[in-house]
Amino acid sequence: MCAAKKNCSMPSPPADKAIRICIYGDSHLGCLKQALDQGLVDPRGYDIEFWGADGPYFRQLRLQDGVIRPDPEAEERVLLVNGRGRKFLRPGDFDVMFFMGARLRAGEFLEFLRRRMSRSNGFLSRAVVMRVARGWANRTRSYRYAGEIARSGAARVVYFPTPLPTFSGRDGATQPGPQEAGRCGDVVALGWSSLSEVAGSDGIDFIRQPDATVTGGLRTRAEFGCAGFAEAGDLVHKNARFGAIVLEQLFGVLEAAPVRAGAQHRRAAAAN
Amino acid sequence: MTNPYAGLPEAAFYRTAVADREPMQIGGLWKPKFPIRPHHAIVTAGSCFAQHIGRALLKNGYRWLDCEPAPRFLSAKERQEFSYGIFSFRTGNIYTAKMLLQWLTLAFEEATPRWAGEYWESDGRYFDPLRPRIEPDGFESIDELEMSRQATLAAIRTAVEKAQVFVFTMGLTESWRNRDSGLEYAMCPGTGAGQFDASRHEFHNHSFAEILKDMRQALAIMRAVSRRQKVLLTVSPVPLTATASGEHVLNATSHSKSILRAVAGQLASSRKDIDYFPSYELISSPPFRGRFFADNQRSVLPEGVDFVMRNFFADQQARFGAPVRRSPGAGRRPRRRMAGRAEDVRCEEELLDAFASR
Repeated sequence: MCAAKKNCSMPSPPADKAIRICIYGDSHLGCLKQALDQGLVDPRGYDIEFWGADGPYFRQLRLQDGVIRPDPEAEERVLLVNGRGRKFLRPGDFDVMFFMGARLRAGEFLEFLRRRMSRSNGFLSRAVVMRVARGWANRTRSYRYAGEIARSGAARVVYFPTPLPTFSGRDGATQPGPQEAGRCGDVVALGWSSLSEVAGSDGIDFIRQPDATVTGGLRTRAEFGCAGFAEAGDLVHKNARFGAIVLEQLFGVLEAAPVRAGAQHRRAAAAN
Repeated sequence: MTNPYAGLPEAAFYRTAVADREPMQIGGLWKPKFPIRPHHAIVTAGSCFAQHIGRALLKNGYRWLDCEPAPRFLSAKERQEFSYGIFSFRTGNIYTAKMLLQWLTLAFEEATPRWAGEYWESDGRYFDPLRPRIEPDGFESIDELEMSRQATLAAIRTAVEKAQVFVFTMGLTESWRNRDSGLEYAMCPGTGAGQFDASRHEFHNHSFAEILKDMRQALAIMRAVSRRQKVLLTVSPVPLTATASGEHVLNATSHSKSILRAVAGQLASSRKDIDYFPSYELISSPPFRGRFFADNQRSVLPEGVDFVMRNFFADQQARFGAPVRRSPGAGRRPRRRMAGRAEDVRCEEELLDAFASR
């Protein structure tokens, strides 16, 4: 039994009423899958199914009439990821749609905000930042899909954005000094909270990258980088430990506001 | 020569220059003192009509400076809502000479004036008396208001430092101010933001002498920053929405515009680096019979703005020749595609590692 299972203090939902979770995304699904395969998290009470594809194929997944379908070229990859023969994704088949990464590169938004706000003429009010966050998020197709699914009430939607690039010390990023870190921290906190608020208003539970995994506000700590990330220059992908933290965050969100297994998520639909 | 009028050009006579012409053929009102070329850095500020000038300059390939640009990802409607891209900095309308002086004082004087610390609060939101409508719902705190104002002051500094031509449109003589501190407000407290308090707020209708003095002080601040800068003054043709002078609003409008026009003329006649562009005359003069005003008889229609700007460019060309226009996008480097292919390969490996083994 893994350490997570031994020390697990969170009550698990009864096994006979497993919450059906579809984890939808791009190559960032990898770290979650590894976390589960390595037993770093306790998934009891959850029936987890992956659905998605990596980069070029991910761009060929399209939501139409409430169903996400792959273009023919992406079918094979989707089936590989899913492993259960599910060619089309009907969000209503699940209690929870968990978007992982899926091209919502929060780091780009935070970096944009940091650069903008560091200029003498660049200050933005919170009201403007909120508008910027909404405009930025809605440029990403997956975010629009998430919003559409949430509005439809087909499933509860939770979103974890693309993890911040791993700190390697080789890409020009440096550890900020205390003063800079303070300023940067305020802006980054504003960025995260505005994204959460925007997503919340779209009926999406947004999970920001946990502080424990972040360094300098805008980078993922090196210990969470994928194997050999520095040598391979892969600052994008993360390891199983990171995946475990993400899943724990997801489970935390679901336990804080429980979802009834087998019931379609009607909250957003009722609100509309 | 029988008298001084004999031999004067057609433009000197009302019949030949105005009455005998189709209104839209009237032109040549401006004899510009200095060239304004597409490559010149141009700043616009002032009353609401100034926004049309900035927009038209930009549309015609001129280098209009936006020193406090909107952040990316805002829609055009949102940019407008938050007053980005309307003037060269985010002051909102600067209606009076005194307000221009206040902004320049805040931007360039080392000591913060006593009047600078006034803020308006309403339902837990804070409004900047210098620009109460800059954030539609106000600021969430005084700190936020102050940081936003500091950003605008930085933009003003940049604008004044970089501008080769500073276009200022004079709008009003009537104003409201704080009796104690002397702070002049962008609008009367209580009309959109703030609360009116007769014991603290007073009406003031600036005189010719006061406006001239304020303009000279404002110009002195700008000149101390940039001695080569040219100033182009215009007077907004937009009539007053309302007057607190006790006069009929038409009389008050005539009074206000006459004084502003006289100050602009006085300044332009006294200095080589200050010119007056007659947008007021091009919109408001009798031969145009109000055709450039919208149904509310105040707002200037787009065809009015076009007419003004056509005259602007034609008069520049008549005096200085055709400008060499910058081609759109000239000097821009083509955008490099991100290293997407390598990333795609890594993504594929990542996913195959995780999922292919089952």
